[in-house]
Amino acid sequence: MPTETSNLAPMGSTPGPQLTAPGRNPEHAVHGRSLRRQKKMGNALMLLFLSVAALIMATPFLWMALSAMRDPTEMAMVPMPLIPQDWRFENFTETLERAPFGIYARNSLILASAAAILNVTFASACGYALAKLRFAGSKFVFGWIVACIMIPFYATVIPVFLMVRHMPLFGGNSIFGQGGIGWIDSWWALIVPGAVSPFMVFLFRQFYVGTPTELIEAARLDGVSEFGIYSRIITPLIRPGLLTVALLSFEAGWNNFLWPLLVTTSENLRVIQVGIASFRQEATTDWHLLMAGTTMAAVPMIVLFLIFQRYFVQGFAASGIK
Amino acid sequence: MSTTTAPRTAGAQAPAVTRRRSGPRAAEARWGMLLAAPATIHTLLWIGIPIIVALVLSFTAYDVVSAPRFNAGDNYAQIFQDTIFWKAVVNNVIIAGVGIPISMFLALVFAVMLNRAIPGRGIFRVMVFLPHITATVAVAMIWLWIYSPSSSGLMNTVLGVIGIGPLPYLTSPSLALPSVILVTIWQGIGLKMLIYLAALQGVNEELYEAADIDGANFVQKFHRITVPMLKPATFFILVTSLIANFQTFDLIYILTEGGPANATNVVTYRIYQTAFQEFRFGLASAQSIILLLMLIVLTFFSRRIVGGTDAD
Amino acid sequence: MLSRRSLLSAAGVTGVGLTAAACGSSGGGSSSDGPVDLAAEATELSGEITLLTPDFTGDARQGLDDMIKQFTDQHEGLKVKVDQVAWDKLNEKLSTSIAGGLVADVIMTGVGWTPPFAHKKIFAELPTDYVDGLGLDEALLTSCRYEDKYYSLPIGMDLRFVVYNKDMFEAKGITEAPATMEELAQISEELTGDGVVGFDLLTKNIRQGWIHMLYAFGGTLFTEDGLAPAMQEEPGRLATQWILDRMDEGAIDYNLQAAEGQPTPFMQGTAAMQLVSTADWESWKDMAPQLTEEGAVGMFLLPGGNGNDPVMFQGGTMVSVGQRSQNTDAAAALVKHLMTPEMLAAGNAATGKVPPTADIPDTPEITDNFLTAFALEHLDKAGAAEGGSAAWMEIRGNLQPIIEACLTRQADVDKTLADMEKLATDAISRL
Repeated sequence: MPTETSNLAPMGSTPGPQLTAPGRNPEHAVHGRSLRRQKKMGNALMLLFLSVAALIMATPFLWMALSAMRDPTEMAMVPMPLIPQDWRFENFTETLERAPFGIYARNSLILASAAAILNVTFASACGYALAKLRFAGSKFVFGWIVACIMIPFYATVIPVFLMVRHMPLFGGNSIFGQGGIGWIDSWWALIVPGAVSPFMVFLFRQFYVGTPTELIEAARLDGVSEFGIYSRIITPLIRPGLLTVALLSFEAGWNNFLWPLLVTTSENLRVIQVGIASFRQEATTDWHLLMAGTTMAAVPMIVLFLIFQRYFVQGFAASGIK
Repeated sequence: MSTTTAPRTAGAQAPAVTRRRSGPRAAEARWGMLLAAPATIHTLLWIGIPIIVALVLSFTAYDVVSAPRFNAGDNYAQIFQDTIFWKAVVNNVIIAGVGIPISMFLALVFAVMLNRAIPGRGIFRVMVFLPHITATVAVAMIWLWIYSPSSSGLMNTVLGVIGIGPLPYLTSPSLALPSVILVTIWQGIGLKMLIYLAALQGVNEELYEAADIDGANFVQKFHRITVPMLKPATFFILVTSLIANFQTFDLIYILTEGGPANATNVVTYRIYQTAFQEFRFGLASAQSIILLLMLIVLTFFSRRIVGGTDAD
Repeated sequence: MLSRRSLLSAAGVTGVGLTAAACGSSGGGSSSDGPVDLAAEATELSGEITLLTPDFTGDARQGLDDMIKQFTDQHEGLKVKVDQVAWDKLNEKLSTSIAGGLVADVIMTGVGWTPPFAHKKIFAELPTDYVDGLGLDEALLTSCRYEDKYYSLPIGMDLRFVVYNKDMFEAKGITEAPATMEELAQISEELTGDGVVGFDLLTKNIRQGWIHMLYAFGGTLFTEDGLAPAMQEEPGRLATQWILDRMDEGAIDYNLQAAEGQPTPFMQGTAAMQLVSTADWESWKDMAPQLTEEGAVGMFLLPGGNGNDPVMFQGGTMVSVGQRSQNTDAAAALVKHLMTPEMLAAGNAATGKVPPTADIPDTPEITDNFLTAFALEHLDKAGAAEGGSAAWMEIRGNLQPIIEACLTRQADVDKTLADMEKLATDAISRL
């Protein structure tokens, strides 16, 4: 296992040239001091910009979180107060009581976890093969994967539905897929069609392309098997990539709405977003509950992201075996 | 090696050598196919077959209720005359042409800044990523509030400070599309930043150190080192953003329902309308095929724009 | 080893086979001619049936479950499974389930959906004598018919009329509700000013608001047989022109629309009158409870123009039996159960939608809700409705952009009406 490069100081945070001792070269010393000041001011400016920009990015979400604790009558006030005047934490409990969110959350968790695990496993394998291995048909597979991303959901939803419904030997179907309901209203229908996303394959390939081929050659000479190279040597190098795909797949599974709605009829297979959608009715919208529900649904994702992003640190990916 | 074998078997010495060379190569090829197989088979099954079905259906009139009825190229002929469809395409192109570059640039700036060790970096990253995590439905409804045409709507309040009068963002035919573009930019930055961040981890530190020694400033380093090193990531983000752009649906559905008067109608919404509101699945399939062809062409063009990147 | 070619051909064969399956599942189903049988004995019914509904979400679900329990208690051996879908996803759910041959046994849809789905043989015919026996208002029954037979029943209505701000009326010295369109135009103009818009017509739904106006001027969307458009005739012209004139005066503001879930201008005091729906009661209770107090607002039916009678617009939920159901007897029995007065009252209590008849046990939801009470009083005037043609599903989505183009001055009245006519004629020709 190659050693990872140490966590070098990120660029810009240390003053200029460290290679000359201070005092040895007066010009450099002066240069270094003003550079230091420049960098400090640059840092401060950057922090200011970041604060403002990030605040703008997050404002709608903050507004949503605030509204989640708001009394509905405040929505009709003109102008609507920014901070809720009447903090209503009951919104959260009320939301949870409206629909069996416990079941929904469990289902979403299963769906999202399955999506993350399956994608990380199979998409990484394919991405690695496309990036680093030479085999017949690899160009075709790559082109095919990219083409897959381009296909709009609504174009394929009915054929996929038909496939799920006519799955042979499931749900009472004959060997020709007739007579029963196939995978409808079952976990198979929820998990299998989206198990491997072509987007993730493409993304993985992108990460793998950046890994050093010399490592692979060296490992081959050492007699490591191809699978061993993939699993034990190269894949650990792209940990940010693994985390990215896991995070994105989890998020997609967590927020999935339409497909679960179409292939299930039972309440105990429904997902969180379906529950939240029930706050949007034809004639009215229970705003405070909708906001509360969405805020609560977003919290696990935020926590996950906060945890994972710690690994996106300079130098985490090996930059070589030098 | 014995040379008593006839010249017919020229290369009697060769077998020993080629066998050694073909061994690892064969293993590589074998494993290549094995590793790629699950994903390939899965997509061929769950995307390939549906697309073939869609292709077949695109030559029929199919309203779900009765069996598909073959109607040759009628659907395609209709599409070429469907002004709403082409308006939707133009809208998509505008959204992509304006929204994607801005979104990518901002994402890159954020990624570079948030790659450094600054206090609260994790919080900043989360804040930029929040739009992506939050379900699109909720996001769209919040923006409905922000874009409220009354003078108390958030956007109007903010713009009112610099004297821009209350504007009807989503009901004005001229303002609706720009308003939607702003939301797509806002929503798209997070994912792009994430990918750039991941890609930045692979940029060699020593390059920056060398530049520091030469006295390069932040902008120069950005321009000469960061951007070129991120070309593969840029290409990836460009292609996937283009494709995602042509698949925007939920946002438009809730913000404007394609209005006013089709000012914000986009291709996926048109396909949805054709398929699920008008129950004309044959036509919708044809529209999807046309969309697919357009995206394939666009991807080719993107490669030209970003330039051939390694192993692409 | 799987070669590229063999993989592709396998995919191709499966694809064709799938299309064949689509043909197969679409055509099948037990479809018997003639209306469903409602006389089946309770004890004979057994099996499991599915109910597809976009209503009864959230809290109201308990109400539905109770209503169903009362049904299954009477029919042991019968189970009911509820498939609940969001309103804006009902289209997708129905199409995919039809394509897959798995349509629910009892289906709830919207007003205007009946002729198209009856035409497609998705809805089963309901016996005429049974429907007549329910004693529902003729105005409500028109939406249930296709080719003179009944295919659905109204189960929870959403009716629309005008509410007004009493204080603003007093301030301008208006003492009577307008009886004609001309009077409405006049007072709209009078009430406009000082940050207040006279009449909010468009907030609920632009297309439906326009259709309401069309009927107010004596027009209809389609001819009697639903095979030709009638919206482009003189009443349509008058209606469109009326709206444009009010916009010119400032009495109607196109941009003053409340987006989904937001408080309406009327609730915020920036509109003097609004075309509301009985369903708005819920959001009034949540966001502006002061409006729900006795006598807080005034109400009147949308007056007729050009010498016509006032008219109420009907939206809401209709219930039907699926033609392809494997258990039409049980499905029909469930529908029959849901239409009994007690169940209609229970439905109203749960969803807040107006029952299709006033002949039901009184519940506090009805007596306290003065919007519903007003609607029930004038049920016979509920003449305006969407639909009326088997091609309606194809038409309705594209009608709104045409109206919007007119109201945003991108198309004049003539072009708008011509576009509407063309849209409708094209869609009908494809039937």
